[in-house]
Amino acid sequence: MSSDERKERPIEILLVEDNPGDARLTQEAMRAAKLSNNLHIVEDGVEAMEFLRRQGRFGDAPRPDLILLDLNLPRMDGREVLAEVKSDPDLRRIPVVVLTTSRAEEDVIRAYDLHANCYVTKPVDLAQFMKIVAQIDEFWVKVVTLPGK
Amino acid sequence: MPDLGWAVVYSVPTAIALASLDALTRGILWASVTLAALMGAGMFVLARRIAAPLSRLNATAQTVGTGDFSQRLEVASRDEIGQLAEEFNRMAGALAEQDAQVRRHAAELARSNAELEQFAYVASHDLQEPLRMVVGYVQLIEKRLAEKLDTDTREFMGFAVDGALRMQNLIEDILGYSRVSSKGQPLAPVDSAAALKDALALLVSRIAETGAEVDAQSLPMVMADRTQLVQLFQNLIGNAIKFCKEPAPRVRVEARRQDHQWRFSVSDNGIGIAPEYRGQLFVIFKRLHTRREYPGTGIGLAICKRIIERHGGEIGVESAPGGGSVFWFTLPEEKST
Repeated sequence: MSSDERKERPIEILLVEDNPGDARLTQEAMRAAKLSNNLHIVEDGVEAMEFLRRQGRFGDAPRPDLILLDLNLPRMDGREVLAEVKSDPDLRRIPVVVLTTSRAEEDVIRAYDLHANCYVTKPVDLAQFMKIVAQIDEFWVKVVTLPGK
Repeated sequence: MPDLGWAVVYSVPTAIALASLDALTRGILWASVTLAALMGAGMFVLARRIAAPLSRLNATAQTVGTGDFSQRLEVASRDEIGQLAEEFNRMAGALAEQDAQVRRHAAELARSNAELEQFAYVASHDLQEPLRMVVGYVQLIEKRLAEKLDTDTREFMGFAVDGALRMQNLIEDILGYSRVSSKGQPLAPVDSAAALKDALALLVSRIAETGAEVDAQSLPMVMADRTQLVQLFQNLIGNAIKFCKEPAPRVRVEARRQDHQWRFSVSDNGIGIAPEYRGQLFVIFKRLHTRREYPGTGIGLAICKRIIERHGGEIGVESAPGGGSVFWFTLPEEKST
């Protein structure tokens, strides 16, 4: 996909985050970085899977280009979402960035064992957080080559 | 009869004459045989009554010795053997009770360790998230309002953010402290010189900034958790460099053998510690200076103490002759594993 074509189709990002305050900060960070992404926010793992499979109220959902996944979520947590996405032949090529507060080594190892594409710990400082969100976007949307549709 | 010159001759046939003697001999013989048989039987019974219970006692003691405290002896008599069996049973009962108690304590310990692990996880994730919200949104307000804010408001917001960031450091530190025991590796032979080298590599920028000189005398092999030994050196040498007003901090690491362990010392030319404060030094979050003078949460030495305790050693501090401090600690000598 050339950069001209990319301009025609906005980048679809699915953010799985149960804390509205956190989701809003991510939105603000993307706005500050002037990223023209469509950010879709779901609050737990069950909704995330429905979104990805276009079930229920997500019948018209686009296929995301990138998933930003928190680990500790109500109902179905991020590890379960990761396991299900990465074992589904239709979904497993979508890059999943684990974006979480946890620094715990066991979470990092577990996430990579479940084939997370990368693991990012959210910094407490706002400026750093904004920088990191912009970098994730820059890397996964502009730098890497992903299989086209 | 001498007076008469007569002699009376009395004749008895030999068979008759010896008959009574023969009977006597035979009687004695029979008596001996019977006695021997009786004694044999008696010995046999006695041996059975003593030897058999002793052999049972031996077998049961061996079973109890392997940790099966449910075994008991049958008390078949009221004699010494019976008393011994009763005594043995009482002892086995006491052992069983003690064993159950030890097992209960071990289970409690395992449970509390699991809870501590859970706590550590909660600290790492759940406590940090609200803090990120406080910091994030105060900073976002600051960013949005920018030049509309007066100096006072800006300062107040700064305090709010600073408080939250400090709390985050404290949480991280408690986590590090709790992980000394929960994430510790088994002790293995470690080259303490190599561990020191790793610690210095982690301190490289601070050593460069301060122009510190660290020298070490031939350091031994010890039994340790390597990661924790590195952390120990890093904390002690980091402190030696930090608490120093001299233009160039000088740190010296030495070790000498003491019984079956090694006594290490880290001496510096720093500000030293007044004797009255030495007792508090290793307490978690205990600080002797304001954050303005020397930043930090006060976790470093508490972690050092916990590491050394995990290794079965001791840690302490003395004054260096030149006015600085000497932190010393002991570690077990190398054992083949």
